Amino acid sequence: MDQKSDIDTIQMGYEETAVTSQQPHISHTQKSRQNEHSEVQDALTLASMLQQLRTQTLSGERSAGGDTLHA
Amino acid sequence: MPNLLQKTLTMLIGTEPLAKDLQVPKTQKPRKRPFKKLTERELIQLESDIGAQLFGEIPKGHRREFFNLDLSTWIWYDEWLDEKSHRQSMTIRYEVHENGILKVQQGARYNFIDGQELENFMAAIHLYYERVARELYRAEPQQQSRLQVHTV
Repeated sequence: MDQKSDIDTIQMGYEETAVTSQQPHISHTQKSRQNEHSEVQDALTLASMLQQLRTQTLSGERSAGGDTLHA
Repeated sequence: MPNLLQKTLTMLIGTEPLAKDLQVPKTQKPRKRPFKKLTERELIQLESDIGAQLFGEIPKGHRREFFNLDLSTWIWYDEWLDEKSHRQSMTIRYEVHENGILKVQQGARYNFIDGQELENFMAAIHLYYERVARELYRAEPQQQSRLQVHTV
């Protein structure tokens, strides 16, 4: 039996395992959480932009609907 | 929570007393007053008129509202007369939390939305913003990277 070849095989096995384990493992639940987080941010951003439009309209910087004139 | 509910009801129904001899709807559209600024409530009412159209034709006899109440709250409201001509209503609140979009229904039912419902909600608020910006505020919607439709 060639011990050297066996050792090489074992080393390859460990190396492969080591490479695999070093790669980040993103689980399905983590991906889901990331998506939910981005959707939360998206919703907050939209609401913020709407709020900005309202504020500008209420302050007179912008008119709404074309039915009102600037103060 | 009671304060938020009060705020929501105020936005929907209003606080001004209605004259008994006048047949007016619960929420009044702002009259054309060229020299009067709109109030925030009136603006939201106008937004809601657009929001109600996003989900297709409104069934006959129904009154629908959909609007952004504040930075973290979206309101869906539906009102109709049942077979006994009793007024029925349904209010759904979508709250934006750190860990997701919480759907709050009457009867203290809470659940975070996901899957198709979440996708529909995100599509609705995107469309809401775009149409409100263009049609009401005469502003070009700011470019925003939309979320990719993700598959489970």
